[in-house]
Amino acid sequence: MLQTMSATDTTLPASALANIREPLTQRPATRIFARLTDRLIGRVRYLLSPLTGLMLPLAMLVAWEAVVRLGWVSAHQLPPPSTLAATTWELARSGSLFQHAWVSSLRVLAGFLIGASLALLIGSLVALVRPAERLLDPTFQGLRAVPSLAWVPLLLLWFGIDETPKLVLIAIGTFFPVYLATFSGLGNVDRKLVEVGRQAGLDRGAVLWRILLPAALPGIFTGLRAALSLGWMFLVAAELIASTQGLGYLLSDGRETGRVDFVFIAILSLALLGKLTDSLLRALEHRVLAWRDVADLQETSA
Amino acid sequence: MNSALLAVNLNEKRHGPRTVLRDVAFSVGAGEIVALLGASGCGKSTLLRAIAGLDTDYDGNIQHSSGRTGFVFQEPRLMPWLNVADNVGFPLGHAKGGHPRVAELLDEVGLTHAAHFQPKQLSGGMAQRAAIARALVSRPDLLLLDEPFSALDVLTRGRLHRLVRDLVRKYRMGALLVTHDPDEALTLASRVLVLDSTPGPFREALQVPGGADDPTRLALREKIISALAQTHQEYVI
Repeated sequence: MLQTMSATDTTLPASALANIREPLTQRPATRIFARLTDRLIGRVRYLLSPLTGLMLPLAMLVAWEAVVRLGWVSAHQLPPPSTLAATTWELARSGSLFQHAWVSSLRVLAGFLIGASLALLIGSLVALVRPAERLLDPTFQGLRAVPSLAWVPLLLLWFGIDETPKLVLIAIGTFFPVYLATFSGLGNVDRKLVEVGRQAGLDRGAVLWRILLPAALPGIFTGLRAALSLGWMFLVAAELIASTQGLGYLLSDGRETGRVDFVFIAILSLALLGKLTDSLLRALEHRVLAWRDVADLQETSA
Repeated sequence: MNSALLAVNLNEKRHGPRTVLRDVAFSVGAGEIVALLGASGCGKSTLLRAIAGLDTDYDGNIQHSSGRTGFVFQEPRLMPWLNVADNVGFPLGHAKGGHPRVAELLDEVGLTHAAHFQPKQLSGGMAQRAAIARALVSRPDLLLLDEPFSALDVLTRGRLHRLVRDLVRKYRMGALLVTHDPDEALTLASRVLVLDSTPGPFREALQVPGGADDPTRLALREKIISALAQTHQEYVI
């Protein structure tokens, strides 16, 4: 193999070598052009990349409008995007859409804050204090097994139909993912880092605050994000059952009055708000956890 | 030797049913580097952890008058969420990267330019230098080193040897270096202790003459290696 290769090398005429080299050295114009087009394509791709995720929804919108306009589906069953836009404008102008969205967001925020902070507190306690783990963890694992919606009748009986049962339901729903993430996150911290703290003479509180919590933060953030999306889920459950305001109310109002467009708008608003709040939390995560030395999986697999 | 900084008198140390250390006695004086050699699994690190107070479950007594120890682990063990300066200042408290003592030590280990780097940006040698600075930040009089150079290339290792020797001299600390490398022990230490693989007193305790070109060094090296070879043999059989 080696021999044949070296044989062809030596028998190759000098003019052939010159020909191979020629396009690179002798025609700078084509090279510049090729580079420019490469750059242009790269630029277009860069500008389009955020739109990639929008292509499918946009195509669906067009198809949706077409299907209704062509009369294949009744506008009563499926209001076309144009009708939805008009109703949205109407609801937005009267301010009621923002009112609903605002009330719902506040409920999720309050419930999430209560649930997540309790979970952080109790999760830390259970992870660090063995008697607390023995005492509390079995109970929490048991309670976790209860589908959170099963709490609704009880909460209504206990707290009536005002804000309290809604906040409690959301707090319960957001508690468990954060509790689990805190508990397991703290349990998985590298012993070697903890040893550094003990060697430096840190007490238990300082070890928790300065080593365990920061080290467990990546896991805790995953729990927080899971909890937030669950918070929106339980919000809808709570508002569907008993409320006079909020996006869940808009849903049930739409159902009762036959306004499918209200239902669609409520669903869209929930999707938008859910995505928006998750993005905010994710941005915070990126800021707080910038120190992580992680592989860019999409980069390495490409 | 001048008055001992650290006096170890360990009767027995067990890991569960297994005795790891028995009848280990030695002392370390100020300004002295003592190297501790032995086959893997013979209890070198266990001894170091007991001296550091990370492990208090032993029979015997370890006296260290000031109690201020600095520990350099085998891996740098920097907190990945803190920059280099805050890592060095870690034993002083939260966000102590701006402490004058930190700046002084960063200068000493040659990391002033990297004060605001994240640990993930550091090379192995830089990370270990940061770890050495962190071990010194609370002004210990005893430095414990647990094979801190084993993961480094020859040049970096040589540079860190000089660094540690100079720092020990400058701050008049005592240092106890666990290593598996006889040459490293001879380069740094003024005394070399070889632990047996079966629990018991030191198999060999050698004084290292000063001056790197001392002709007795070669003989000393042979002696250490043969002692190590014997412990290894026992270990295998």
